[in-house]
Amino acid sequence: MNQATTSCCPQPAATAQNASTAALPVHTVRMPVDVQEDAHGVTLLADMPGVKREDLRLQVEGDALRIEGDVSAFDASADGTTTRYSRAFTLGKQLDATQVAAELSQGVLRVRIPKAASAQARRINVTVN
Amino acid sequence: MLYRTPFMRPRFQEFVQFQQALRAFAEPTVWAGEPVRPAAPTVQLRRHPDHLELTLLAAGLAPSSIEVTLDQGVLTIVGEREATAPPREGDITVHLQERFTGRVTHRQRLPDDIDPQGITARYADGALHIRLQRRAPEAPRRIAVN
Repeated sequence: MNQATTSCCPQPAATAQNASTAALPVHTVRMPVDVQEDAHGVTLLADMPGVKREDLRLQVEGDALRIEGDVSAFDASADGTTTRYSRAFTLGKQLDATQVAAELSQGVLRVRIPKAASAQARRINVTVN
Repeated sequence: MLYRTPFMRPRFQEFVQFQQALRAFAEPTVWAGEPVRPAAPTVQLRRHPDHLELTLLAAGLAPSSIEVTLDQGVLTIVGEREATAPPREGDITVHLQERFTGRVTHRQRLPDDIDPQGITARYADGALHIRLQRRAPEAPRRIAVN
């Protein structure tokens, strides 16, 4: 597979986080999402409360989008586990996976995936002489 | 040897093309696997010698809507989620709607030694952190009996 891997998040921070929590077992949770499509693309909203920006990982590989985030709001040593949100999505061919934009605000992740130029309805102006 | 099969007439090819177009139209743009059902907010209560720390995970609450009250030893947390849906302009197709909207309520009975004046709350990254100061334990008093 020779597919481009793009990531919008600082990878060193993410790996550092992994290293520090590697000793604790990870409790993985699939988070609820809303997916809405309009004429220009898809908006995905995911609930990831307790996740800091630097602990969020978004990975696009081919048509697969994986969203992961570690909960840092909880004291992991108290429970003995790290809670991690993780969910994988498969993007349709009409979406442009290279143009994924994400923003995290108060635990709500908003991901915008535009449609590929070829999939967008175009209006062609006709000039009549 | 080439010969025509009765099934690959031009009309049939048109039908296949039509079917393909229909499938592309009906194909979802995002697959998210098995649906996720909404769950109650997750809470963690940590006990320290001089204070308690309560953390409630609830994403996207409007900070102005969060109310924390202490009444008769019961801590009540109420918050409301802001509508984060994108502006409705033109045609919008909703593919998935799993996220919770509306009011979040959590009640917690507290130990007796919590100081009602020593409660502070902070909302960050979709997590509500509440620090509850404990009163210093009173030294046992000997009451004189007449």
